[in-house]
Amino acid sequence: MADTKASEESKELTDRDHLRRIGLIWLVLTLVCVPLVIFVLGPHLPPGTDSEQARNQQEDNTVLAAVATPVLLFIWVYIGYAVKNWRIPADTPVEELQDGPPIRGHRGFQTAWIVITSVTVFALFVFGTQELWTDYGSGTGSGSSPVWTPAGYSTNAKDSKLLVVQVIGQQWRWTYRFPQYGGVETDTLVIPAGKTVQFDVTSLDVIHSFWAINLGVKADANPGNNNIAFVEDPSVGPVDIRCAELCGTYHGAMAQTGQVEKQADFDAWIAGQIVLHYDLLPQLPAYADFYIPQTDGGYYDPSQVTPPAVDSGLPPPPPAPAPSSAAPSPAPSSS
Amino acid sequence: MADAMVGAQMDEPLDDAAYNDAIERAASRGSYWSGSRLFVALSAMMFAGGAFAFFYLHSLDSSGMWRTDGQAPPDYVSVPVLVLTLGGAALFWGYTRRLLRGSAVTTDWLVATGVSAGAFLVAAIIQFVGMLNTGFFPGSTGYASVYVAIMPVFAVYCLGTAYWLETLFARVLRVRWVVSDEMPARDSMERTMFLGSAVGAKAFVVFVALVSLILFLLFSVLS
Amino acid sequence: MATDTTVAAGVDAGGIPDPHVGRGVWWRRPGLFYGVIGAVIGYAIGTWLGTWLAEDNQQVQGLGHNDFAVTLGYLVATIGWLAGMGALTYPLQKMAGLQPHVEHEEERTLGRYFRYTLDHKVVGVQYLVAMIAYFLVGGLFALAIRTELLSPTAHLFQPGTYLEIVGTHGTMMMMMMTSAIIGPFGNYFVPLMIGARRMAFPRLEALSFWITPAAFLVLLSGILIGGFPSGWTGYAPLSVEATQGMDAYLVAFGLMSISMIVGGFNIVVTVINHRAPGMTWTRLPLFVWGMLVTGMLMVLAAPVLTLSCYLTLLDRTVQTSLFNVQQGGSPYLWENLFWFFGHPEVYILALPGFGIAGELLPVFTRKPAFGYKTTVAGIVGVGLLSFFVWQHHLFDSGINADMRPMVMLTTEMISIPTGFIFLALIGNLWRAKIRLTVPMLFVIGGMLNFLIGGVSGVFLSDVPTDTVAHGSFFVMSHFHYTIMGGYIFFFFAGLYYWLPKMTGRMLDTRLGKVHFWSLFVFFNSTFLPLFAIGELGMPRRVFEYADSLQALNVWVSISAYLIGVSMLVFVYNFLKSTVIDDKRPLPENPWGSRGLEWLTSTPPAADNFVRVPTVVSGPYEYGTGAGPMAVMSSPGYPRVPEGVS
Repeated sequence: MADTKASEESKELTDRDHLRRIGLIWLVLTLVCVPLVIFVLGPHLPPGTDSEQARNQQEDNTVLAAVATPVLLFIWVYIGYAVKNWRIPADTPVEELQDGPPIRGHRGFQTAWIVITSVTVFALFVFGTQELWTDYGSGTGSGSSPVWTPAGYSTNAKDSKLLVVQVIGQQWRWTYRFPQYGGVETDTLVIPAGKTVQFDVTSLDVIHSFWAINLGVKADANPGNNNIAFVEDPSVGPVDIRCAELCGTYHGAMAQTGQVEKQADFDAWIAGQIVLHYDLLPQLPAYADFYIPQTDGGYYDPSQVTPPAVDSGLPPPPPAPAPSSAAPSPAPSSS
Repeated sequence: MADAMVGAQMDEPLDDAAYNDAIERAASRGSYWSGSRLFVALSAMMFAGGAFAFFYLHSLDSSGMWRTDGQAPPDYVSVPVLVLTLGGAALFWGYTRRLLRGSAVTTDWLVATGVSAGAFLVAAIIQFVGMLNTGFFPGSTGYASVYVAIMPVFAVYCLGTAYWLETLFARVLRVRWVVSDEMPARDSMERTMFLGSAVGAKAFVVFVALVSLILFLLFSVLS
Repeated sequence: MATDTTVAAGVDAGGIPDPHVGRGVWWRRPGLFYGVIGAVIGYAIGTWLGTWLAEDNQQVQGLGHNDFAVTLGYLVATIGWLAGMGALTYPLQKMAGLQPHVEHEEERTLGRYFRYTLDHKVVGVQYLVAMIAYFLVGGLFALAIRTELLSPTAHLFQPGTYLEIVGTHGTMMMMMMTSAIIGPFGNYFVPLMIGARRMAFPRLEALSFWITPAAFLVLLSGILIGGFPSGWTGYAPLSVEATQGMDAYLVAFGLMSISMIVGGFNIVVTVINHRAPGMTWTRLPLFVWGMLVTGMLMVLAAPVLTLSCYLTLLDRTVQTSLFNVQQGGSPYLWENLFWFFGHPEVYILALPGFGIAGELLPVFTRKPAFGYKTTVAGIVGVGLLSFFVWQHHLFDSGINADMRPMVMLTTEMISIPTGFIFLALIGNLWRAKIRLTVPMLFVIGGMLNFLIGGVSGVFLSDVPTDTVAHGSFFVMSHFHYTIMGGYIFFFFAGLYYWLPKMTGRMLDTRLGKVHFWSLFVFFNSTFLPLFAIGELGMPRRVFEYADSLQALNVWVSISAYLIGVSMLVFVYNFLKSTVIDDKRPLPENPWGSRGLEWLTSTPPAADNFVRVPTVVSGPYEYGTGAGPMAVMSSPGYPRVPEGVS
């Protein structure tokens, strides 16, 4: 651009000159900012890289931020340019006001605008849907019968090749049941690294939302409903868990830290849990997809509800650390 | 008619008051027409919310407790309400149609409107009293809950219809000329407002009758 | 039966004057005084009735709180309040067969602002003052929230108290503020801008206003009886299990929904029918378009809210089980019904702002509206699409998970009509004569804020990115950008622009600029960090958060206090310019606007126009050589134009 006239001469500039100037400023800023967003900001965007879902969400965040940046820049540059070049004193007396050019529209500009926004929107829709699909619901609760499921998923937890963890919300804590380990119930979340985990989220009272922040998982816990979310390939480290749906007085304190462990450590932990709670296991209700609170204070009345429950025969009695091989796959290796 | 009056004076200037009056008369007539349709639309949204609750809870059938076998409101409540609302609506609709076409005898219309208003009033009373004796506990099933929730709203609508028809009835009782053809020109605004209200009510009773029929089908026929 | 015609006419014309218009001392006609008395008596009757009804009800005794008494107390009190104000007089007269005329009060007394008045301009001023008051009260709750969040652990309020504050702030803003533009400016200016001498149903506009103080007081009183723990969204089953304060939320929100229906209904019917001759649809000011579509959304969406509140009240009182999953109900029912209202409501809070922006931009750029038809298509398109996107609030809920791609599409498609509106902004500024007056500053500031709100909305419409953002401070910041940053900024733009017309007094420009710049800077400094806080894992409505987020939260809280200071500047300016310092000489048309509302006297006379004007050109014909927009006086247009009869 050879166009370097001083601003007082801007009156002589044609529409095309103005457009070129705006376009140039915008282009330079975009060329600077978009790489910054993608390569500098992107790797630090939440939710991090602790699971496949989290990585994909981070990638999505980066893509959306990279698409949003030129849009924001264009409007900012345009408004800044217009206000700088075309303003008149705000206190100009009404009698001395001059009118601007009577432009009612510009067919080409309007058409281009509509086409660009429409194409962007549809592209984002296709991209989002593809991510949602290939990522098995992208870590979100996908209802009781999800359509996009990872290999090994079964509608019956017993046949599932995935590690099934039932997440039970209640005011104001989370507990976790492992149906493939005899329905043992724990108050901390531990899952093995590298595995695909299926969270079956439900609630005993009001609506909660299970948010495992750095795993990129969020699923509402609804009473009387099973809400399934998948997470693939979690990496070893702590998991920040919070309730993300207002659930009453101590909603604000409904936070926990879980743990992703190596497979062997997980096996040892779950075996220890079974031993620890062995006497309590028979008193737990049979495993079900969800639990209906009863007026007598219990949570499950088999005579009234027959959910598609897993046959949750407890593992035979060995009180030793290793549960018997009767436990369905993935069978814990003896520790 | 108002139109005729304005038309007759098209050639000569109107003073401000007459001019404003002519314009506002036209606006009023349109306001009643579009207002009544808009009211039907917003009421339809509300009842559609109720219908959504019905079908949604039906399809979820939470805990298998959508509806116990044979659970239904007593026929001695639902059938009279249906008959009274349909009959009242038909009566008012037919006679008002004749009135607007200019062929109605005033007294006929007056009697029909009075009877129709009475029918809606009785329907509302039956429905309200019927709520005290449904034969089931409100929270027993999803079906019972939706019934207990929606029917009072419908009864309020019946009451509202009765009120609307009563205002027309009372208006004619008091001022007979609003439905007669020989109307003093100075009172044309009165007549516009009366006819506008009648036209609105004519559309509204059809809506209430339709709601009545749908509610009857939902709660008493579908099983 | 044989009523004499002349007697009948006499009865209507003068025999029984409309008591709303009645003259005489204040205690001889309905008004605020009798409204308060009616409310007190009504509350006593309702509470007694509720106690009597629930006396033998085992379930109620088991609950330990009687929701019948509270609910009926509120409802009957509201009826008593409205009856005392004089709202029931006209319906009862209709029952007696009378037809009182609409007559505007000629007297310009302070007292008419405290009565059930039929002048849309008085209602507009009532709304304006009330909305500012509601807004400031809601804002105080926001400052309380930010004070609690100064530290990562609970330190100031009990957790329950904190939730009451959060819920009251949210409900106050989302519920009362729905009418912040359509109430004051819609009621005041729509008739003036379309050349009407009155609203279609003047009693409805008064009703829509006088319900709001009742809703406001009912909502506030909820705190006295335990508050409600459910935030403004009131999700079941938490709302069904909550204590009596929840009844206040439900009754207040239900009342406000009725106010919205009534107010929107009146605006829509007025715009359709009361346009002056020559005011064609393509000449309709953009603000009126905004009001029309907003009114339509209110009329069609708010009934669903009325129903939802009513259903929850039934679950709480007569023990239906609509939201109880054990007995055939479902909490999903509330989520669906509420958001079916809730998402159009979001646009009820956006479209009036777009209307103001579209209206003011041509005035301060001295150009015809750029892409008028595109802008109208944008406003209408946003309104239509808003009914098809509500399930994006339920992306994680497990409801209809297979439908999410479709909802994603409809949600993202809203960017297209919203883009039309930004197109207008851009086009208007092109080679314009931009005057950065205070209203124009607020318009541009509002547009810039809304841009960020809109772009962040794309992150929420996309399921993968929504996984993190949903239910976190990110979404909270997003809608504050659209509502506070957009809607409220446009509200202030309208206020600075139109107050000279409403009161004949101009707000101080220097203080106005201080107000704008401080609000713009501190608003962004408050809510930009909240995007980050949300993405970093802080859910909404919590009183405890990770230690690592404290620095950001303290920054946000301090900025929020400074917003409060900025609002004090505004309040001072408002009071100083309207009440204290009221001798400022003012030109008839201080902005040089072509709008029809500026062609009548300031402040407008009781019936707006001596003679209904005839519109001869569009409102934005700057620089096209068109003459004034309308012919106001009688000599030129003596005849009834064609099409009017």
